[in-house]
Amino acid sequence: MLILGLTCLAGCSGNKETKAGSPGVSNKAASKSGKQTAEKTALQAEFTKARIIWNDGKGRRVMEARFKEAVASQSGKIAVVELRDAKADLYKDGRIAATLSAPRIVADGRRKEVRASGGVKIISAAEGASAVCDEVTWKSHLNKLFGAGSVRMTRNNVSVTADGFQADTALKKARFTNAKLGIE
Amino acid sequence: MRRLAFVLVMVSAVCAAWGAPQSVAVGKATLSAAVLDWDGQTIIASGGASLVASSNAPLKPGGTRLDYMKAETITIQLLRDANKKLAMKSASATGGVVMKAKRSDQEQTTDGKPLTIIRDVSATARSAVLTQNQDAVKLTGNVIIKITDPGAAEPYALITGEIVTVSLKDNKIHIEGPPGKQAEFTITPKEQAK
Repeated sequence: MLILGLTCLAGCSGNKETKAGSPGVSNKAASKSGKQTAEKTALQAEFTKARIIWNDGKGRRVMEARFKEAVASQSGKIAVVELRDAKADLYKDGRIAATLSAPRIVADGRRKEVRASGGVKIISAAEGASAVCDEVTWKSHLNKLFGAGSVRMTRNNVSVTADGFQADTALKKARFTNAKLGIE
Repeated sequence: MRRLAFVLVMVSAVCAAWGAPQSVAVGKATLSAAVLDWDGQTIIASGGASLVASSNAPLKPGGTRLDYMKAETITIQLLRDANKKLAMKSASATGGVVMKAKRSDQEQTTDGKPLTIIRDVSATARSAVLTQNQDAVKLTGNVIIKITDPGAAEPYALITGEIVTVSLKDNKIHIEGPPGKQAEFTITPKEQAK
């Protein structure tokens, strides 16, 4: 699903971006042409200030990301994209479940996961909850976030600090390890 | 005289029933554990769970304030108050429960002057339930409660029972013995030094 979405990376982002027409955002800007490299990598491309939309095999939105810079590589039907200074909307059943922002986000088609690092912030769309941590991995097919390092999740006047956590994408259910919860 | 007053308060409480509107007996609280599961308005802390109350308000005369509760597992239920803030509705602890609290006893000196004594309350039980709307902690299963005078090593009062309810809004303690047995309440006399 995510793999298929990633394979249409360039095309999807181009179409959507044209419709959106956000000023200062273009998938064409500073784009470097794809090049054949090693055996495993069939295509490699770099983008700056662009937007990428990934759909699953059924055409449902999985993730939409805005970023300052990206490097994408593709091998066969599998792509790996690294985004810099990125903000990504994470979808569940066609709706935005959460927004994730981080200095570095890697969408890995091989592992079917998105990894964010460098200080990650996640804001739930529905629950009024937010979380920050050092790094997080999102497995869209499992609808799970796995966070680690200096975790702090806040919902209203309740906050949790922990070493790590796993939660559904919308942060409705979460499990923390070595955790301390405070009610103000 | 002080002991007599204390005994009277305790004995009168045995059959007391309480019910009060919602209160903030615990106030701010911290829940910690090895694993903490948060699902909606239910939070389950397991593995060395600890619920610490951190109220800055002074202990009211004639009242009891929970310091902390420790157990293998502590589950708390949250509710949204009128200001949409989340508050603790109830907390239940299971497995090796240890509870610490302080109570403020209003007594009189021998010459009739009012005297406030802050005593430590420590309790162990198999399980415990704290309900905010009832302002009470209900301890169940081989309950042992020790009430200690400030600076004293030995407990001033020892309570054992199968079900013991400690009121937090006042100093009443309701004791029930195990089936077929009586609850025990022991006051340990000590020499009057003064």
